[in-house]
Amino acid sequence: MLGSRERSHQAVMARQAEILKRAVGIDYDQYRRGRLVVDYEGLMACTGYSIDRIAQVQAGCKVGNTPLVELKRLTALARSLAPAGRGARILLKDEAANASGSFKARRASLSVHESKKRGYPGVIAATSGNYGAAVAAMAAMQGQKCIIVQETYDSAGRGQPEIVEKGRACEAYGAEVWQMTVGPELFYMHLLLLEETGYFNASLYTPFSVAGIQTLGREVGAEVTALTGRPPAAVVVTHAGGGNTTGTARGLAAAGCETTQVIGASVDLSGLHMASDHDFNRKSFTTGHTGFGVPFLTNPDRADVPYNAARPLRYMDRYVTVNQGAVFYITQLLAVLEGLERGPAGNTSLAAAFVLAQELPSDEVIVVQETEYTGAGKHPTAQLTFARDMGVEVVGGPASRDEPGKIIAIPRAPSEVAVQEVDLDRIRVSYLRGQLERMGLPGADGLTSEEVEYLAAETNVAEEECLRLLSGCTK
Amino acid sequence: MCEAPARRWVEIGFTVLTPEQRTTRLPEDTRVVPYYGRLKGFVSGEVAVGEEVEVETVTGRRVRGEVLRIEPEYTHSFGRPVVELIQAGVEARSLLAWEEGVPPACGAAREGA
Repeated sequence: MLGSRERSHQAVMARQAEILKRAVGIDYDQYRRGRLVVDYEGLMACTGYSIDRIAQVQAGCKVGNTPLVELKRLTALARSLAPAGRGARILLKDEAANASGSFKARRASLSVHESKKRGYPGVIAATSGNYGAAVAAMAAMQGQKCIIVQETYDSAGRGQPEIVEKGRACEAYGAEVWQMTVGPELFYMHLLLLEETGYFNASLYTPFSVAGIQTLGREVGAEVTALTGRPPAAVVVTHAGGGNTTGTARGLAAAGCETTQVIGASVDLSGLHMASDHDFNRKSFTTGHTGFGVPFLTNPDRADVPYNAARPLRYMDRYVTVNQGAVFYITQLLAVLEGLERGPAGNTSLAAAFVLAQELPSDEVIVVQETEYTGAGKHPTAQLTFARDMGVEVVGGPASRDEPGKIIAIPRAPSEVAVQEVDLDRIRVSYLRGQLERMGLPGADGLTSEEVEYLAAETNVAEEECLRLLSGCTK
Repeated sequence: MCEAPARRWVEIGFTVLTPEQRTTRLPEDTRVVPYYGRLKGFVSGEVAVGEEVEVETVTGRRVRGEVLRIEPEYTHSFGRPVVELIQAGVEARSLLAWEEGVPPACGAAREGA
């Protein structure tokens, strides 16, 4: 099918718009309103699926209605550290119970369903995470062919253990797996394969993918309300590309949880370069970290679709980071105190929730909205063994000792688990600055009222506040 | 009845972009190495590591590359024990037993009972 079309990096990237239009089947231009504004709700509605219909499709794919469990012993431990009357109940949505073992199945189910309905011969996803296994499993049960493109190896051929495991899982579900070395050319490879095969782009960032997560937020909201008579005080979401935050928050809103705080949590990997061959195998987390979390907040449209349906800055009320060691520590506690071997992904938000619960009244509920299956490569012992072999020091101590790529500090006691606040206003200013630059505007003066309204919605603030933040962009 | 030709399951490797062909926006350590891919598939007849072959993938596509491994094994594991984690778990359980009004040593004995 590719024939004699030019395969150079430059030529393929130049055909990007054309390739993606065919491979996603959405005319994004239809939702653009001038140079900046996009009809986001219109785009989200283009899937044509109501939440009830999504839940129905998912139920047919062994996805959804996962158990919501109470972590009584972790709650008791958090309360032992909290002031009197504080220490919210920690609940956990056991998303590992989905087919393929993570919440990513919710995202994949709708994409694969849609690809089949539209007559695509197969699906492709570029992902090093659980999403690959999710797409592969959904394709397996819907009879679609599947290709997964991963960033797996450094130039010496050393595979990141967690990604090697995810590659194995994709192969177990019958997918063809391309395992690439480090580099942003993953997107080039993705485009090349989309063009060559004519398959559907099961991107993480289409409206289908993001809409699929809404059922998770709705289940959490409805289940907690049924259990306690009111919405959860907070839901903590492991944040990377933004889909998890966006879909969960939209689902919570659909369940009437207006008062629930949506808190993003990422592993702090600051200082490590995401495209560095050297740094690649010196990080012990392959997703849910600041290397994705921060850039996808400040510029969500760095995705493999023309306009990202995952827009976390619209929905995140608070953003915190935890260090790598704290996540390994809480993973251990989840096993030895609660009898649940899970993770790593959801345990990033669990580490944060353990600390945040201590701020909340003891009659409130805080929810960790995902778990994932664990196994060889993914387990803390696998990651820490690999880290040590790569020259990373593993020590006992507080987060302040942690240095991404060099030292992993594992808390010696629960009191050493801590969160670091990320100033969302700084993130908002960075997002707004990027938008002004894209339009070639020096400041807010050239913006129309419709554009200010859009930017306020994008940054989840009132228009007045948005204008104040915009004035900070020129400083 | 003719017998189906023997097929081997192999892993191949191939350079997708040489360092010169890669995108210019890369950190130095990544810029100097090729962009390389690996893939698994079936190959007919006998093959040797290092040989250039064309495999048929599980989706039925044909891709060329050098044989890296024949019947490639998954070698990722659970790794070695991490004493810091074992210790942290023991201490958290003791702490909780204490909170629940059970002296740690006694708590451990009860659990063993």
